[in-house]
Amino acid sequence: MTVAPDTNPASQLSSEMFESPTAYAAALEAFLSTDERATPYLGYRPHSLEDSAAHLTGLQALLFDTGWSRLGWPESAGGLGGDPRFRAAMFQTLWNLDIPIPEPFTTLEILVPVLLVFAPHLSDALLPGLLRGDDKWAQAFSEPDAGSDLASLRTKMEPDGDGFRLSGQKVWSTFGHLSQRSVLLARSGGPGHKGLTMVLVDLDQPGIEVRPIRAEDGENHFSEIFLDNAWVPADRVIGTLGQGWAIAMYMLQWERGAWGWLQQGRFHQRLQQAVELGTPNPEFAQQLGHAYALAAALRLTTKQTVERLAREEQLGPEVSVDKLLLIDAELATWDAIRAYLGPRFEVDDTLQWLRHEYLFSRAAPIYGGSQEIQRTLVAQRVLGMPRD
Amino acid sequence: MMDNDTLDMLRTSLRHVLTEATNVPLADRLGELGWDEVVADDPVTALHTLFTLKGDTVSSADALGPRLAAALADALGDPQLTTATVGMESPFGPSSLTDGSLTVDAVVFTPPSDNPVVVRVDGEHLAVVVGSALTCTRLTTTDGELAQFRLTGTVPASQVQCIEGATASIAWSAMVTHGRWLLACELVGIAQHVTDSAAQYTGERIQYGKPIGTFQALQHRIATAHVLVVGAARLAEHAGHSGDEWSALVAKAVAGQAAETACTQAQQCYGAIGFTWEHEFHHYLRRTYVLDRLLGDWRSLEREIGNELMNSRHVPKIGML
Amino acid sequence: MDLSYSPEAEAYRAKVRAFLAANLPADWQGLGALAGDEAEEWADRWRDVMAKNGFLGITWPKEYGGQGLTKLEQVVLGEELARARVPQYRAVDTTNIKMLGNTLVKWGTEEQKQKYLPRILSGEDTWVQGYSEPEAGSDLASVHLKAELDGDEWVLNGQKIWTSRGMEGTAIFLLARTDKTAAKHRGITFMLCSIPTPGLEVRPIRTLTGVEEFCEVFLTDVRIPVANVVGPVNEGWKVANSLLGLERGEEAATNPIYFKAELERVIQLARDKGRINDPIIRDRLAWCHMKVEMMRFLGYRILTAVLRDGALGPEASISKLFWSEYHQVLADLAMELLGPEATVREGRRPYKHYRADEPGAANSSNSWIDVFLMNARSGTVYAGTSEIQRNILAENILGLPKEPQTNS
Ligand SMILES: Cc1cc2nc3c(=O)[nH]c(=O)nc-3n(C[C@H](O)[C@H](O)[C@H](O)COP(=O)(O)OP(=O)(O)OC[C@H]3O[C@@H](n4cnc5c(N)ncnc54)[C@H](O)[C@@H]3O)c2cc1C
Ligand SMILES: Cc1cc2nc3c(=O)[nH]c(=O)nc-3n(C[C@H](O)[C@H](O)[C@H](O)COP(=O)(O)OP(=O)(O)OC[C@H]3O[C@@H](n4cnc5c(N)ncnc54)[C@H](O)[C@@H]3O)c2cc1C
Repeated sequence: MTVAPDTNPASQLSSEMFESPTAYAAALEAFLSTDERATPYLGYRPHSLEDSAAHLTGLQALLFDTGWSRLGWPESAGGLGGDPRFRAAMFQTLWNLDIPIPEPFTTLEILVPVLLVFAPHLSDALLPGLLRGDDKWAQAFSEPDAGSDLASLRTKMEPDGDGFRLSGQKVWSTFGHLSQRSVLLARSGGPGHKGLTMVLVDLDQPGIEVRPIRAEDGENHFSEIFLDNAWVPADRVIGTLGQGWAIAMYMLQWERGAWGWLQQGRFHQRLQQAVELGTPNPEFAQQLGHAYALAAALRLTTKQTVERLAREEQLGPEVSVDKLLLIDAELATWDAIRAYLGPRFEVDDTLQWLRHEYLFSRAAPIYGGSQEIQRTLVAQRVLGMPRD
Repeated sequence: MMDNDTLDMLRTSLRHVLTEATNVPLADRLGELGWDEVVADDPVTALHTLFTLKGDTVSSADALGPRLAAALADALGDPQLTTATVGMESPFGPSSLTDGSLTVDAVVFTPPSDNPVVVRVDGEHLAVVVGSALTCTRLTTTDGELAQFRLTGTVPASQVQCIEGATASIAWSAMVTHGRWLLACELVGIAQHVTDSAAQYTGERIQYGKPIGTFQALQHRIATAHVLVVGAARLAEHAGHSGDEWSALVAKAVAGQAAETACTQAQQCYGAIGFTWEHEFHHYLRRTYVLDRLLGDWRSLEREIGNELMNSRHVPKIGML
Repeated sequence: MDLSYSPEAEAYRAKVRAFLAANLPADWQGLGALAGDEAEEWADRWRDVMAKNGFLGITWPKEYGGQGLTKLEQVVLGEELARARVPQYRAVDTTNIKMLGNTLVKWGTEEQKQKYLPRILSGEDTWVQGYSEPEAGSDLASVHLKAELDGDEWVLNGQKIWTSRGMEGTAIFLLARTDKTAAKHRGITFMLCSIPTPGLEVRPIRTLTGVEEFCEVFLTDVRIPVANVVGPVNEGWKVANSLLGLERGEEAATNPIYFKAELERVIQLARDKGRINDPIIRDRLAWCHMKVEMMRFLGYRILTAVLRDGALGPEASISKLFWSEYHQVLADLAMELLGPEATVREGRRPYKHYRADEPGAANSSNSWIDVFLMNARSGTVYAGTSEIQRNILAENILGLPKEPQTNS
């Protein structure tokens, strides 16, 4: 483990915290529950997505300035070194204290590892701002006609001087309208996987229009992005031309693995909230027990994945198991909570946020590769069942 | 800790011991392997490996009985009980203790001889009697191969050693925890075997001119089972290392469910042959069914978990980074 | 949906009731109340009583021993027998009367009808079904049993498997490949073969529950006269499929009655086990009740369509999925209620290996263990697996595009 000397005067970190994620988590928990700068985030309930994004940007800056969120990332990303278990421990600690995880952290988990490997030339300049929350990035892969079958995407990428021009349409970009930049997958060559390239594009430019899309819960969770001759300089290519698909696949091990750990923390926290709010009733015992058992299975499975990532093992198709367990655990958790809290869940004004999370949980079998696609991957690539 | 080579060798010899056709009791065959030393050296790995393989091979040898006795002896600090036979819940009724005598009704996997038999009378009372004082009858079970016996009899109080109060309840629950962990391992072994075999079968069985494994309906069935099996395997591993009651409870709940799911999905993939003795699957289905019901079936364990969460208003986390 | 029966049908109902009142013991509990062998014997005897009184094959023309009645009367008969807790016939009569008898009525030559139908009703002949083969299960149209014409005989070579109650068969109806060059559905012929016949060997297969319920049948140079072909040569697929319509209407009416009786047994079991006030058990029992009621109304719709249009409506393809998947949940629940008892076999075992155990069965572990292991679990496999039913439903009823993989 390479750990940078922490010269930041505001840092809360001491050397023993660098030793183990457990020691780190305990110290972080102490900091967050006592330091008054953290108070506004404890048990924070957003009124809207935009409100929450703005508010939690402050938390992101606080965690960066005090050093906490930098542990677990390499120096080139603005971090202090240490492996991904420290990030995982931070997420767990935030959930333990009922502090919502800023959405950009989840994006970071997916995008930063990719940039570090495939675009190291961009990391020094761009990643610290991303980590601190000064800058927000989106992920623009899906298109109206390319969802599960992502490799069929059509957004065009053509050389122009010392850069490229992009034309086409993207959709379902989480937080797209709140982001300054987006990682984007475009077609620079012929059909199929091999014609795809990944780039980092600035969204605030004349050739780009970003329109928010309202999700089921009434919030603008994602956006569609229209590109009309938008500009991207050559040094914003991630990896090389035609490497886009391979990079997207690399990304998935983080999206499916690390993401699962982050989410299990939330499920445990929400179950905790439900048992605090509800009145014990044996009628719901099995449903709650079932949800908990799945959340526990998810926890241990993704714990192992995080540990493997920490050992820099290359993960294979088996991470789809993490995603599938996540889906089962997420749906079961919210079904159980809703059943247990009964009518109160449906009408209590103070539980609006919980209802939103419930509605959003229904997206679990879709995002990040649908349940059907994951099952097929597990069957064919993990269990060796035949392909047609 | 065992290194990987040692573990591989252990697996090979255990597989042999579990599958050889013989009437020699498992304990004796394990003895030849130097099993006691292996267990003393790294009990978690050794027992995890034995029980997972036992599930994998649907071995009917009684490995659980001696472990329950060992756990009880350990918890009570009474080495004599290491050779005991522990009576499990009988479907025919409880054992009872009155002033004058003990009436036993319990189920065991190996008939006792003149060794001690421990039965639970209620949460606060365990009774120890000598095996030869009881009548032992073989039961016709759903499994058919895994031997189970019913112990009955009435023994005068003078011949009964009674363990009472917290000592009894703590020891019994330590034993239950140990047993649940081992059963979780065994169920995971079954579930993995069933899932993998079904995946393989669907690659070989041709209908409509192609392997039936190419049909998404079947791919998704097996994948669904596999996901739960992986979760169950992680929980069983963790329960072994942590040794705590809660982890064993959750591990057994998920393992029972995983094995049942694996069997249900696999059976549908097998079609008619899965309903016969023409294929090995039937052993696994019935075994799952019986093991799931020992020390709490998965549904009742899930309820136990849910009730505990609601009543304690606390949601514990299993496993730290 | 029309829930009323015609006056003729109601008159027939009265007749059935009178017959039952006169012939059933006063304290009749149902076949389930009798122990294994006793139940077999009783079912055999009862079948004779039914036959003598003209209650078997009632829709068949009178000249072949039937009553010349309509499907509606058949349904009424089924309902009344189910309500009275008596079987329509022996277990093996499902293939004997329901399958082969009805097929012959529709497709048989005059000679075949005269020869076989009366013998089926009298019980002299017992037909078992020889469709499936080791390599032809779901893809039944790929049957391989080779049939070659030699003079006025077909010579058969091959194997059949999973023949239910094959050991009881005195004859078997077969699907054989008579034209290897034609498209697979077009080269199949429906044939009749008595047992024993030189070159035909029947071997039992042990099922999950340890009993010998299935058989495999080996055919080596078995010679069958050309007169034993049912329907046109090479059109056996059509002959075999035409049965479905005949069966489903009746089943739709009787299934809910049997399943209702079975559910009542489970409710009693919940009471016996002191679980009747358990909220989770109550939820699940209520769920089962809803399903049985839905099955009843689904049944009425199927029946209405069959009686009105003479054809099955879209509901029919749902019904198989519906009852078979329901039944697995019910069986799980029963086993859960039995608790530790479910691991030890006690009491009598079910009389048949399909659907519910007979009414009147005690809530013994053996009854439920077998229902759970065999009857309920196999429901999603025999008579068209759930996967195949869903494909049919999606493609033929909902108009979803065909699965590219099954086009072969
Ligand atoms: C909450 C949320 C956030 C998202 N965020 C982003 C983001 O930030 N950036 C981004 O680029 N995208 C994002 N997405 C889009 C997401 O990646 C796609 O929704 C997903 O890939 C599925 O594509 P689709 O919606 O077009 O559905 P389709 O691909 O049209 O699928 C519809 C249905 O068909 C099934 N299906 C498709 N192919 C098969 C097959 N071969 N076998 C069996 N079933 C199949 C699917 O499983 C699904 O049930 C987000 C989606 C959601 C719900
Ligand atoms: C209790 C019982 C009684 C029976 N009695 C008789 C009898 O008396 N006479 C007789 O001839 N037969 C009998 N059968 C056999 C029965 O008809 C077959 O089991 C059935 O047709 C399925 O064939 P299979 O068992 O070969 O399974 P397979 O066809 O091998 O099917 C295995 C799995 O593959 C799936 N599958 C196959 N094709 C597809 C597809 N296109 N898409 C998706 N999934 C697919 C199936 O759904 C199943 O899950 C009986 C079966 C049972 C269980």
